[in-house]
Amino acid sequence: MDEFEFGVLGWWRAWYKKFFREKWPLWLSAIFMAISGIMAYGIATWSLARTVSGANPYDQSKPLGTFLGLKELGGIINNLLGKIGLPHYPFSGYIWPDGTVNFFRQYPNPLLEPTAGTMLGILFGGLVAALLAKEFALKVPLDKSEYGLAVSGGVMMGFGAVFMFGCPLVSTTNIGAMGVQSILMVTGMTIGSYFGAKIIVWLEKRRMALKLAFSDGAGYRPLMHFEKTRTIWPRLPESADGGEPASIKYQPHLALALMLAMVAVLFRFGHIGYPALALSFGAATLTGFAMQRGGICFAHAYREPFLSGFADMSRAMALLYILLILGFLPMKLLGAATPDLAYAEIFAISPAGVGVLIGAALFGVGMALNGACVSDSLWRTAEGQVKIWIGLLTLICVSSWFFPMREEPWFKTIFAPYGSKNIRDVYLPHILGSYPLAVALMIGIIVLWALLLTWFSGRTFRKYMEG
Amino acid sequence: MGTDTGKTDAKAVSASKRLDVKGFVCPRPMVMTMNLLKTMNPGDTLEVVANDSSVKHSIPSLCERAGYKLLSQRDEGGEFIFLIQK
Repeated sequence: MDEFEFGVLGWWRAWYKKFFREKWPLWLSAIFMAISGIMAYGIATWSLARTVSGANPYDQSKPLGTFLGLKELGGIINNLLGKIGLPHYPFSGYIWPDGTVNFFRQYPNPLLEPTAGTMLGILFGGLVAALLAKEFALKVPLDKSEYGLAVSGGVMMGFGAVFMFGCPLVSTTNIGAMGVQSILMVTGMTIGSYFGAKIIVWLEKRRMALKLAFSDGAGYRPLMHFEKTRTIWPRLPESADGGEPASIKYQPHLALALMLAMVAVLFRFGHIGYPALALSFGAATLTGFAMQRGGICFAHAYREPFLSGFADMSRAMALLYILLILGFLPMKLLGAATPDLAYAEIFAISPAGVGVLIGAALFGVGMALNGACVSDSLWRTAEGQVKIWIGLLTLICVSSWFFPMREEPWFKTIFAPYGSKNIRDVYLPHILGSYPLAVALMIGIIVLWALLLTWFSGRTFRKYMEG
Repeated sequence: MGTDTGKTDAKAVSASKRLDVKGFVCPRPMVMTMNLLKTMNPGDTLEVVANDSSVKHSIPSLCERAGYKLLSQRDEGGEFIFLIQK
């Protein structure tokens, strides 16, 4: 019996270590992210059917994205700061292919806006994953340049998000949805990340040159081994044999308690009329969990081929994109075949134009400098990275202040003229007249993108080794 | 405390140089590590201490690709310590 218990305990410990402590392979995180993205699209289609049938017109979940959530969370901050910024109100609804808005719903609370819930779900998933891995720690940068990078990156991402009508997580949904916007987003973010990487290289060279004047000759001060720690909580014991402090030891227990509490809250939420929003929060939680476990980072995927010469994250991202294209297809075909569910075919498609390209390039530079985009920031915020908090708050405020610009006629005319009258004008299956052709084209573009970044990564790394 | 995936006894090898990148967020820990390794001689060892979880992927990947030897890798309460031989 003892041996059996030992065996089960041993198996559990090994499994726990593998799943919750060690980093997942990138491809595994990409698959889990794809599963959660497809779940969110399926839940959104189900909530659309319930809205259309009159079963529950107020519970409108949406596929994974963060854009409108930025506006809502920014609105909360603006109100706290004394109603600075521009007026906002939480809303949802479905813009039919012909441009009419159906089932418009203004929410009593900004957190009921579906993508605000998505953002909080990613944050929660990241927090649970970090606690289970005992990786939560408050980390404060002492180097002032990190704050400068966070704020400048946050401002650029905030503007970029308004112009491109989304963020990299929206781009994943939009790629799966086969919108023209997604191709412009991927192109713009790749170009922006290239320039962002160049800026970082220049800043590091400058930093090294300055340090050489008064340091150990290699450009860096010697390590001050835990004498001046920048991890302000939890505190490590003085000696290595001092045992694990309670603030680290009980992190998994706290994660378990938080999960149980959240399950209870979501059950209650479902019971009072928001089952789709509750399920959608669950899907977003899985996204945040998978991102933290694998260390999946959009900023890394777009920037590293040009900076350090690694494209493994870019290839994982390509896998995610392709799985979403295939996974969304059944729901899209259902929407195409059912007039009442027409919106299911065009979920996440937005008008496109030069603004998307400009915004995505700006966003690419910003996320390279900040070190994280919106969804990256959420799970890394949950790990206790204070620099990322600053970048995220800046991004949220800037995008919420300038969001109303997006609704101005001049903005639409100049920056997003295509698809304003009929959204199918920027929907690839409609443009090409064929679903198989659109799927093949989208997958082809993603494969080419991954190959291009892999080639760039080889070139960058060769330069590093030879230089 | 923490997890230790050391391939050799890390105590047996003392680092020629140490790099503290705690408080720096991806990509800077990786860039600083790459830049410092570039200035070092073959056979020299470098200890890197970081507290951004991105290094758990990036530094082992760097060692594998560049042919550097990752002598040990420790995780101590949210801080990640690597011993690398060029």
